[in-house]
Amino acid sequence: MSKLKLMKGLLGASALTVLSTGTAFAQNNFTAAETDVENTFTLNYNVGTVAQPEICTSDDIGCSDTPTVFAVDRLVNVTVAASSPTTTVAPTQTDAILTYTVVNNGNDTHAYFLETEVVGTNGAPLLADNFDSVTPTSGQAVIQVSTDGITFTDYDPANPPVLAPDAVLTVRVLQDIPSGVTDEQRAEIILIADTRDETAPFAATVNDAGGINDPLVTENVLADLDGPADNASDDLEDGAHSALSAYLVAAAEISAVKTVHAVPDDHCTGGSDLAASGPGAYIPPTADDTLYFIPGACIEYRITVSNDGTEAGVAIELEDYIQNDMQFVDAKMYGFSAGSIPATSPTADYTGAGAVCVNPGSACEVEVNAAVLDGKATPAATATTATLVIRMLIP
Amino acid sequence: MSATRLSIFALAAVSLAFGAQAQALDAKQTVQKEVTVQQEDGTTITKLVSADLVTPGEKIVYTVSYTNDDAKPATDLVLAMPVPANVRFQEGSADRDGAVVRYSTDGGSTFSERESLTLPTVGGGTRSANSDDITDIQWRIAGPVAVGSTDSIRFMARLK
Repeated sequence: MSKLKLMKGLLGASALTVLSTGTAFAQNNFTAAETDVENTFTLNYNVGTVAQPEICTSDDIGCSDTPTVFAVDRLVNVTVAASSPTTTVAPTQTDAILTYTVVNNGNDTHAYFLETEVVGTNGAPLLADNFDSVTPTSGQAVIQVSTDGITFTDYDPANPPVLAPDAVLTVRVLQDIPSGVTDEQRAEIILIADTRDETAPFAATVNDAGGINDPLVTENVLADLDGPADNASDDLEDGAHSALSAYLVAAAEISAVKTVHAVPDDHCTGGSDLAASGPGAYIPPTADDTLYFIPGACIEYRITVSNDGTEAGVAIELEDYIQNDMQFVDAKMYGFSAGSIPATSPTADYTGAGAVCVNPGSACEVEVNAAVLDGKATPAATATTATLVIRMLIP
Repeated sequence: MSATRLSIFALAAVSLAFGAQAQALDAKQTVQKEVTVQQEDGTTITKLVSADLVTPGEKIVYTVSYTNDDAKPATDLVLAMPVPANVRFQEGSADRDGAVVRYSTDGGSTFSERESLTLPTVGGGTRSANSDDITDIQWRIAGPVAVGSTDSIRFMARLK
């Protein structure tokens, strides 16, 4: 498995402290760490019919002792989540963005170190990774952070973001998508946030649970979950948490097949009866296997274009050179969502239907310009198709 | 924040014992937390442990234990404990056989039975008090507390 540590953000970002959160996240409103929780009591009673002196615990005069006290300990619980499981990208796209959130679900303020793990081509056991995205060639930082989800600054490991309890940090990861990737391939990236002391040198948080503890001392209780990152980076109750998001390639996968058919003569004689070009599928004439490709026969070429990707194929250009001495009758296109056959097609050697192509290979051709073929609705669906139909007579 | 333990109080005792004055009853208050422990056979049990390590969401148990050290029985006990502002009272946890339990929403100035505990509303009416509104709890125990006997009163709350 290829597992790389991506380059972290550039140096020089200003201090980033998040004191409050957006409204999209639930507020824990936990009791702050180091809070002293006091309690007291009063007890009055009689012995026989005689009221006895009150027993009490408080700081008031007359009470014999101080309140019962314990100090609230420090709950360390960071939560990382991907804003979306996947983000659709195209081959060669630059600065493609994956977005995550980091939430301080504890009860004290902390700094957070951020890093990414890339799951490589060989894939990790639980993942479905197909290719590696790469560091942006634009010079943009790989990790950028924002307190409002709108304005982002480069992540600076020397000056990491600081989150108050309940505060939310929006993190985005930028990568370039290489060429050569195909429809539905995935590049998965795990973002890891590690809880640190609020101030430099940003020491790691250490779990005090399980040791000898003191009710009057504030100690660390690590309660974060285990995320998808390698356990060395993120394990249960280690102060770190992680989440996975993926670039999902959406690309058109265009192919074309040309077939030739003999159709009954009346589809050519007396002019073409091809329906007008349009987005609907082509409905061919009724098949007749007894027809021959002989002089006077009506011939139909069908160029079927398929898109087996989920993204539309755009700017599709078709050029079909007509065989020498064939007599052009008509050409129409079906199933494309855009595009046209130029009014001059077939080109120069023709003066209209019935003309004979005398210069094939140069200007004697049928063209389709700027055609668009929609992608499949889902990866599992069958490919979409469109057809260019050319009719001609064998002289 | 550093993992270094911070000394906040010079006093380290949580359990407070009373005996400075000559009292018929000796009473003390303790604070513990309830934890769930998985046993070797896979079953789980809940038990009370010292409140040495407490974080938000955990269940706190306040207990006042008293012993009659006098030569005569004690009667007509009235015990009151506030509910700290940082905890949320757990309904029903103060109930106890032989005690009349009443609650306050005004810091202990007045007490009512739970069913009739209300708060005024802005519009001039009243509404039923919820767990967050309870500020104090009072137990009335007719007794007697026999000579040499020990008893205890408790309530539970979650740390907010």
